[in-house]
Amino acid sequence: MLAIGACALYINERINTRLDLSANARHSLTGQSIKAVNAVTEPLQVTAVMGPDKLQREAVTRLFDQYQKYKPDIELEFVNLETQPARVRELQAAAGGELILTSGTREQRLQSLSERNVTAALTRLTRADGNQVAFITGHDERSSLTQGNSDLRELAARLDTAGLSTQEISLVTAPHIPDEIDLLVIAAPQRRYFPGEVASILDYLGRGGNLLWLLDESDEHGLQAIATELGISALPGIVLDASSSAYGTDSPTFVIIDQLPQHPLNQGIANPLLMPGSKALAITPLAGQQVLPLLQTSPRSWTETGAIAGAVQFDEGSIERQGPLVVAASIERQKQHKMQRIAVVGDADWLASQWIGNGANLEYAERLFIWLTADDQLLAFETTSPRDAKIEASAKTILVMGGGFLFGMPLLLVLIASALWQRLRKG
Amino acid sequence: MTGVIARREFHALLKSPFTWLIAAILQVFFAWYFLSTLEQYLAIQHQLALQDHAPGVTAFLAFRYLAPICALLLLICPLLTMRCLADEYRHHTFALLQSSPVPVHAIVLGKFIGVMGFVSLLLLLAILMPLSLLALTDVDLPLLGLSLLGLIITGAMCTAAGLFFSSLTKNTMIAAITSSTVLLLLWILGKGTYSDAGIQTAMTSLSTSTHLGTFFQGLLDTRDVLYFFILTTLFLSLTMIRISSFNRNGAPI
Repeated sequence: MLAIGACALYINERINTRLDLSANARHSLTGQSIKAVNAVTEPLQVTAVMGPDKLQREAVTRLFDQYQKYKPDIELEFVNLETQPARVRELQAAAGGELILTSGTREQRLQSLSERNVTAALTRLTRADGNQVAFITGHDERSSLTQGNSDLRELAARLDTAGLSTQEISLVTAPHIPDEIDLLVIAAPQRRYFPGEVASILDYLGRGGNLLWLLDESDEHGLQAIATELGISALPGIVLDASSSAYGTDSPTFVIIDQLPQHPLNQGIANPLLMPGSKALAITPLAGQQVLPLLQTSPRSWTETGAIAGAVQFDEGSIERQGPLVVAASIERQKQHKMQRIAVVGDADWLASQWIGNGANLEYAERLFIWLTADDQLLAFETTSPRDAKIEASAKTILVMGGGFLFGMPLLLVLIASALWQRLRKG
Repeated sequence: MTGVIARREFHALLKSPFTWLIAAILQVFFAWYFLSTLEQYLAIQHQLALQDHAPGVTAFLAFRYLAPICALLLLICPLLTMRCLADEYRHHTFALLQSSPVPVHAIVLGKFIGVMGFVSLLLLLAILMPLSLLALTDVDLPLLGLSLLGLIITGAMCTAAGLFFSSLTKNTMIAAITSSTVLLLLWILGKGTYSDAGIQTAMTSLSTSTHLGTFFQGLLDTRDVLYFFILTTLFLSLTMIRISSFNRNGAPI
């Protein structure tokens, strides 16, 4: 009999059909995810570099099981962070472990597990190649080619895996920025732009080109005409944040941003961002464009204009401004019948090879570049909210319910019990 | 014949003040647990709404309030079944059943259905409170139904196990304690970590706790439904085998 039972259980484990009956299909993939996984034509290899924790591994397996329903050739491999150091090194995995999704020549890395993130990564894996990102050179900007601590080589490599190819252009040799450039990057210039170069950039903007402008501590760049065009300029001073020191940052100029404002770009970012030495932005509203803050510092931050040494504090009544301060903003506007996207960030160091591995910097950078090249599909992810999410109950209702359930019903049951007891004693 | 025994067993439970007292105590426990879980939900409902695949109040209650009740069944069902057969041995009434022309399967099934009727009533008490939220919001009824199924199916397995251990001994306390212990072991089997991957999988698939989660998440998984069906059938068959062996040997312990 026991043997039959064991056999039945064994067979039962093999055959398995599952139906999601919950009202908003909470445990099924959204249409967006199904579309994303179906778009992956080549076999997908998932390498999960993580600790031996059983529950965490189960969560990974469960999530990819769902994708496997739609794409059977997903291969999931676990690499133990603690017992397989050689393999971890070979994969160059992050210290806290990560998920590596590989398909064909493309690769995507994730540090947090959720359907939203996996689906975004799948979409990035399959997006068409050939979005061109151009970095302007000639003014000691951060280079996307040089392997230096403050350069952007790491970022460029990461963008490449997401299908964004990077190049450097000089406005002196080729003043006309071609239309094929999907995104132009001004990466913290240290020397002034010539008026002719500024005119090239303005011409490019006039044609509806997208722009990412990274500012730096030096104000000398001769780009005031562009600042006026965008209605965004840098406030004097460097952002200091009293609440960031709680994280134990090395320098007072390191700003930690962990409260992201509402923005399509910001959804699902789980870790804080690190901005070393950032400028704050002043925004002038202009007609015909929508400006939204992308990154904001805490209320305990301010722009320090004095020397940063010893005890520094916010000087009220001076030109210093108190937080929350906008350190990155996005602009969307209609230009030449297409949607133009521009982002201005008060710091370039957060993208530099030395810092980009901190917090969510890399993840955020990738999203920012993709958003700027106007690929919205990557960010759209909606799940159905449940019908029974909202309960509006007055204190009185709760009291009546609570009293009835907690005292009324048990009392009734005890009364029945005592009545039966009486009858038993008499009978 | 099964029906007659089931009805007798059910009525015996209903007529005993002891069972009503159990119901009263359970109701206090259910109500307190329900209200505190509901309060938790009310406190964090706005944060929850921001999640992807956000849980509604039904999903929250199913997982936080209804699922833990399963563990309670491991203790309650053996208490309800402990007297079913052990008492019959002790009061020598089993000989009457034995000598009557009632087939063995009718005795076992009858007693099982009788106790299950009462267990279902207890579980209705537990499910009544989430159901009362219908007055306030659009309760996810399929999910609530599945949770009830999960509770009943666990109750069935525990009752069948309790019945089997009650058939082994004359002593009601021993019957209750052994069945609770075995059920508890079966419950925690999958929670351990085993060095061998094969043993790990076997233990996990044998364990009760790993098969319960789906019901309370609103998933109908054939594997989990059949797991409980198989175990219930197994315990009932073992009980029948045990009783027929008396019929041949004529010597209950």
